[in-house]
Amino acid sequence: MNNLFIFLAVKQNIFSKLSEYFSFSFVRYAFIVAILISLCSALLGVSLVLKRYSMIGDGLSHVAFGAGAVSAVVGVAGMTITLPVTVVTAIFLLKSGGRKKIMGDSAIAMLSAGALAVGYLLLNITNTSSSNLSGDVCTSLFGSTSILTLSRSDVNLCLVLCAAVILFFVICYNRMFSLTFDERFAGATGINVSLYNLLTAIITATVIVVGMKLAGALLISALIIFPPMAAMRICKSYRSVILTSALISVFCAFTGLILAVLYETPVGASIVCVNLCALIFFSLLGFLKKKIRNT
Amino acid sequence: MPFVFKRKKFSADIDKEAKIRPVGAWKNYSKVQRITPAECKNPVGNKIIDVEGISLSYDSKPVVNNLSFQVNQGDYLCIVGENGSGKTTLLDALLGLKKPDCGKIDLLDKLKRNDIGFLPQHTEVQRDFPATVFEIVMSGCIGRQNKGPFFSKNDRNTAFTNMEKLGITSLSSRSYRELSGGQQQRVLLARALCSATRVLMLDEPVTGLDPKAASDMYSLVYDINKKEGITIIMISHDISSVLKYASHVLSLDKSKYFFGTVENFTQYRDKAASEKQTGEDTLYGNSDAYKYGGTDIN
Repeated sequence: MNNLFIFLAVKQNIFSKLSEYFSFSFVRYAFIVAILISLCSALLGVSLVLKRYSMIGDGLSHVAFGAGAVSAVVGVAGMTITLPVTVVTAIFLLKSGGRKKIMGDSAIAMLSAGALAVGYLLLNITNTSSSNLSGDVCTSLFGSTSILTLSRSDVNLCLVLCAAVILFFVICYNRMFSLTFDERFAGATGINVSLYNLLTAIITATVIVVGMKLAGALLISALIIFPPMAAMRICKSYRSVILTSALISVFCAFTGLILAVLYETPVGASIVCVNLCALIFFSLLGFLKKKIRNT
Repeated sequence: MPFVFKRKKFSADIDKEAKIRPVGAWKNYSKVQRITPAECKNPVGNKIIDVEGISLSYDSKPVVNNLSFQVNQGDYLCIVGENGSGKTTLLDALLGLKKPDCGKIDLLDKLKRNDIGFLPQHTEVQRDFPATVFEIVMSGCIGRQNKGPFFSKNDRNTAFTNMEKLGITSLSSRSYRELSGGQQQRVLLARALCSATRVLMLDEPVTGLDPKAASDMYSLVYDINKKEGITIIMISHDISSVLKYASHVLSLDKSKYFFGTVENFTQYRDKAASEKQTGEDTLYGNSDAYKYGGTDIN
C-alpha cells in the first residue's frame, strides 16, 4: 500500500513537471521535430534496410558533419552548404544501384572516414576563439546534452520537408514497394527506376541533415535502421512493416525525449537507447512467435 | 483509404473459396493439349517482335554482335548459350531496360510495353523479404493503367485470377519468406502474368528448383503458351526441356548465333559437334540458311 502511494506521488510529480515544461515553446518544438523526423526516417528506413543500404545513413551523416564543419569555418549559417553537399553525396552513393555493391561499400567507408577527419581538422585549425571546441564537436556528433533550442523557422522548415517526404511515401507507396522488392521487374513494368533512386537519395540526405540537430551525426543512422529492423522481426506483410516501424519510431522518439526532459540526459542517446530496447523486445517477441509456431 | 479496409475481408474470402473450390485448375494438366488458333485468345502467327542487327555490350564489353531474329505471336522461343554469352543482356534490351549500341528492336502488331510480362532471376535479397504473396502479385499490375497511386478493382481481379491459375490462392496471405523455392517461383510467375497479356519473358525460371518443381514450372509455362497464345521468350540452360517444349531456339555463342526452329537446331548442334571434331569452320554468320534456320520458320 505504501509503495502504491509513493508511486502515485512520483507520478503526480512527473506529470506536474512535464506540464510545466510543455508550457515552454521550445520544448513543444522539440517534440514536434522529434516526432516528424522519427516518422520520416522510419518510412525511409524500411526501403533502405530491405535494399541492403543500411550503411548509407552512416556514411551520409559523417559527410554531413564534415560539410557542417566547413560551413562553420566559412561562417555560413544553417543548412546552406550542408544540405546540397549531402544530397550530392547521396546521389553518388545510390546511383550505382545493385550491381556495384562492393564498390559502394568501400566508397561509403572512404567518404565517411574522410569527411569526419577533414571536418575535425578544419575545426581545430581554424579555432581562433577560446570557445569550447570539443563541446561543440560533441554536440554535433551526439546531439545536444540538454533539450534542443529550436527556433520557429527551424520548426517550419522541418514541417515542410517532413510533410513532403510523408506525401511522397503515401503517393508512391506501391511503386516504392515494387522497386524495393525487385528493381529489375519494376523497371520492366515501366517505373522510372533512376528517378525513384534519385528521389530516395535526396530524401535520405534531407532526413539526415535535418535529423542531425536532433540526434547528432553519429546516431541519426540508428533512427533510420532500428525501427524497421524491429518491425521486421514480427511482421509478415510489407504494409504492416511500414506501419509498425512508423509506430515504433514515433513512440520511441516520444519516450526518449520525455526521459531526456525529465532526467536531463542527452536527447539523441536517449532516443537511440529506447529504440535499442524496442529492438531487443521485438526480437524476443519474434523468437517466441517462431517457437510457438513450431511446437 | 478504402483499399486498406477492404483488403482483410478479401483475402479471407479467397481462403474460404479456396477450400470450397478445387485449387489449381491447371495442376491437372498432365497431357499437353493442342488448341487450334481459333480457340486462342491472341491470334497466333503475326510477327510481333523484329530485331535487326543489334549489338549489345555489358560493362562496355561487347557481348552480342549484329544479331537479327523475329518472333511471332504464339511462339515459344528459348534462348540458350553459355554463361556470359549475353542472354540476360539481350532480354534487358528486349524489355527496354537497355538500349542496343546499334540496330533496332521493333514491336509490331500494336504490341505495347505494357503487354509484356517478365519473370526475372531470383535474387538472394528477395528470399527474406517481408511481404505477403498477395502484395507481391499485385505489384505486377503497376504498369498497366494510368499513373494513379492506388490499385483498382480490375487489378485485384487480375491478381486473383492469376493466383488461381497457378494454384497459389491458398497462399495469398502467407509471407513470401516462409514459402519453398517452387512456391516462391510460382508467386513471381503470377506477378509476371499480371502484366503479360501477349508476351511473357522468363530469365532462367528453374534455377535452384528441385526436378519436380522444375517440371511443374515448365508444364505451367507451356500451358500458358498453348491455352492463351501468349508468346514465351525463355532463357534456359536445360537443353532437354528446350527440345521438348520450344518451337524456336536462339543460341548465342559469343559473336556467332543460331536462330531457327527446334528441328533445325538439332541439326545445327550435331553439325557443330562434328565440326569441332574435324576442326572445320563452315557454319557461321554469313549463310542465310543457318541465320534463319531455313526458309520456312514454321
